[in-house]
Amino acid sequence: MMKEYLKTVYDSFASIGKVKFDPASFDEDITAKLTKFDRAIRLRDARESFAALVVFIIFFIKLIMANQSRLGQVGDIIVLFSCIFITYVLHRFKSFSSNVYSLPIMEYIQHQRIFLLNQKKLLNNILWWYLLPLSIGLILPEFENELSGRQVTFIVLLATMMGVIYYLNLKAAKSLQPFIEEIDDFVKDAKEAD
Amino acid sequence: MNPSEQLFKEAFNSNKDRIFRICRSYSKSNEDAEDLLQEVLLNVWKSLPNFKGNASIDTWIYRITINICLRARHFSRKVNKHMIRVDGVSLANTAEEVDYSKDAEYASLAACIEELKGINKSIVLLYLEDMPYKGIAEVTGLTENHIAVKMKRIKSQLTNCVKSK
Repeated sequence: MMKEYLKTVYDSFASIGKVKFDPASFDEDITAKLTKFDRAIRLRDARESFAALVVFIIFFIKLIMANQSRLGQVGDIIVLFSCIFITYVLHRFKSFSSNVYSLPIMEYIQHQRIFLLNQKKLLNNILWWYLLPLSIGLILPEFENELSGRQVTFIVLLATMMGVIYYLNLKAAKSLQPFIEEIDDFVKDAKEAD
Repeated sequence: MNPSEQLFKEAFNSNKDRIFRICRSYSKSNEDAEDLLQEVLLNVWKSLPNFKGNASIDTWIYRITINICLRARHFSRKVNKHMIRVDGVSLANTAEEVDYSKDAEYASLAACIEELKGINKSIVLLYLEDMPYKGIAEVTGLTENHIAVKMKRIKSQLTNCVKSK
């Protein structure tokens, strides 16, 4: 009785939003657009890796060619390892496969939760895996001799920039919390047998 | 064309209006729902090589539909910047927004469905699209008994809600 009533009301909406599907033009379009789409994604990923590669090459050449003190060499090595580690971390936690969308809702929700928790952890810990190693590597050579005015300015500017990046990342991590809580509520509601 | 692509086209063609209605229930406008439909379609197409046939293709498509809708509307702050629109799929009457004043009862039902929490909304939408409890269980990952218990409660909640509005 209730079902019939609800169905009748719901079906009064059924005429709205008819979808037209033309398999021929779909076929023609999807392959071309997906190829273009995949290329754009690959390009975006390559741009991120390219930036790290450029920094890596510059500091590698500096390490080999420049006549530096031990402190300068240690700084360069830290920057080189930071580049490799940052690239690894970014690729490792970037996203999850689109295959997860075909999982049952409850399983998908768990994947989405883990993904958000990883993103939050990554943003909260950016000081340790990104900012601090890179900053130490860049600042260390400056302490070779007594600091000049130019060196002090460089250190202050770098510290300020890293501070701003750190603050923005903490803010972004905080903005993920409502989504995690919504997922937790969703799972709790779903598990209740009402 | 490989068999899974052919299977997808047949399944999409017979379910397209239902998929759109589900997208519409998670959207504020037809345009918004069309974006969701496109995203569903792309993800279904991209996932096709991984379709193993463990569930029916219809169940598989509904899973993707609801998961995409949930992600887009509830669990992510990201707007899909890489959204592409595929030709061959469009709304027959894009200009026509839902005119709730024409059907007060439907407007009440839509508002009451909107008030449902979490997975209850997904369950009731699949139920109203005539999916059996077994199918709903396969889409959601809950047991059939659990769905039956939930549906009993939701039906009475919805009926009371619609009549009181």
